[in-house]
Amino acid sequence: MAGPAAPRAVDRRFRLVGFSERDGLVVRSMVRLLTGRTRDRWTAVDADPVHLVVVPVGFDGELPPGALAMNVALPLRADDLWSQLDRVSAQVALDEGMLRPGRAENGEARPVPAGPGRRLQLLRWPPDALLGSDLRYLRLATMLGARPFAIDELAAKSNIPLATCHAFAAVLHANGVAQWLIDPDDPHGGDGGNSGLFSRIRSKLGLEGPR
Amino acid sequence: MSHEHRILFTGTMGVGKSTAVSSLLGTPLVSEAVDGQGVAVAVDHGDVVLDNGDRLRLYGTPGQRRFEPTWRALADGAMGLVVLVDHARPAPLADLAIYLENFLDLIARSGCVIGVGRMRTGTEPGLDAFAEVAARHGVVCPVVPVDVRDRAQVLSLVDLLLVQLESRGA
Repeated sequence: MAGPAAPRAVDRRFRLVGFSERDGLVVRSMVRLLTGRTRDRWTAVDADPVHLVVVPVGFDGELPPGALAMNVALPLRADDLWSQLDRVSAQVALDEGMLRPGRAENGEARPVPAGPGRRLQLLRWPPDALLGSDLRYLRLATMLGARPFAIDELAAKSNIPLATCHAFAAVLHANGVAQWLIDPDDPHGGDGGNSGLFSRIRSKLGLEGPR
Repeated sequence: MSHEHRILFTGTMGVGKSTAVSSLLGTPLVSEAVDGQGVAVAVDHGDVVLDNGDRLRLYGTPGQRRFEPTWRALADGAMGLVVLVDHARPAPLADLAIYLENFLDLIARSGCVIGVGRMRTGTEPGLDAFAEVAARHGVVCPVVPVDVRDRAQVLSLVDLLLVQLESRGA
């Protein structure tokens, strides 16, 4: 029996921000070299709209609102770049194709626009293979296991880059261990009353935080 | 007025509950008689005095099932739970199920981390099987390998527990 069909490659646009001319040339060249191996076909452009903004690690400048951002470390590693691009592809595809529960009158699934009401809920603890030894993923999964989070809030509270959070969310969803909730009312909004206690415990035990 | 806050370390006898608490605090534990349905049982704990005078008390629960009343007494009002599982025992998945079932109320209102000790690479059951047992009990919480003699690893368990509590706004 044939397995599930691989997703068809789609043309995607990215823009570099914060790179020197030389480093930018290296990133563009490597992305071009990866064409045919990455899930989508990525083209560097100089103007919006783009699917992705690529910035160097440590970049703290302004980003276009709403754009997916991806941090790239130099010197470049092709396998890192490849996997990062594929994670972004999964996230973009998710944003484009995410479905509401329920169906329209004509029976077709209704698309859900990306927006502040989307929160990700962890359904079970992710397989070890998804987490690996990356402590960032362990922390993100722990937070998502505690309650559903919007991804921007997850990034803010965990202090982990937004692009990493988006990519991790896409992987969790694709593996069936998390689901999106369409719920504009976040019953958990705001900090709990015990944040002072947790800070004191962290301080006494020598743990970083509070986050 | 100062308050007492409790985190419980539970698991089978010999899994390393007292070792974990002792590793974390770097001090010997003290024993306290805890009353469970009229029977006083000596329970080990270590204390941390917080900077506002509150006291964080880390308990190692007695391991055997006959101490279930004591478990319930300790769980009452506790702020979180660390379940330690000894992978070298004959049925570690069943061990985990026992502690999840007995502490389900505490887990539901606070947080829980599962630490699997004495786990050798490539041996079964893997971490995913422990997560599956947790999922069958409706528990979605971190499942990580741990060496209870290593303070950094025990600290990481407590960190993950605090991350859960902070996320829930407990």
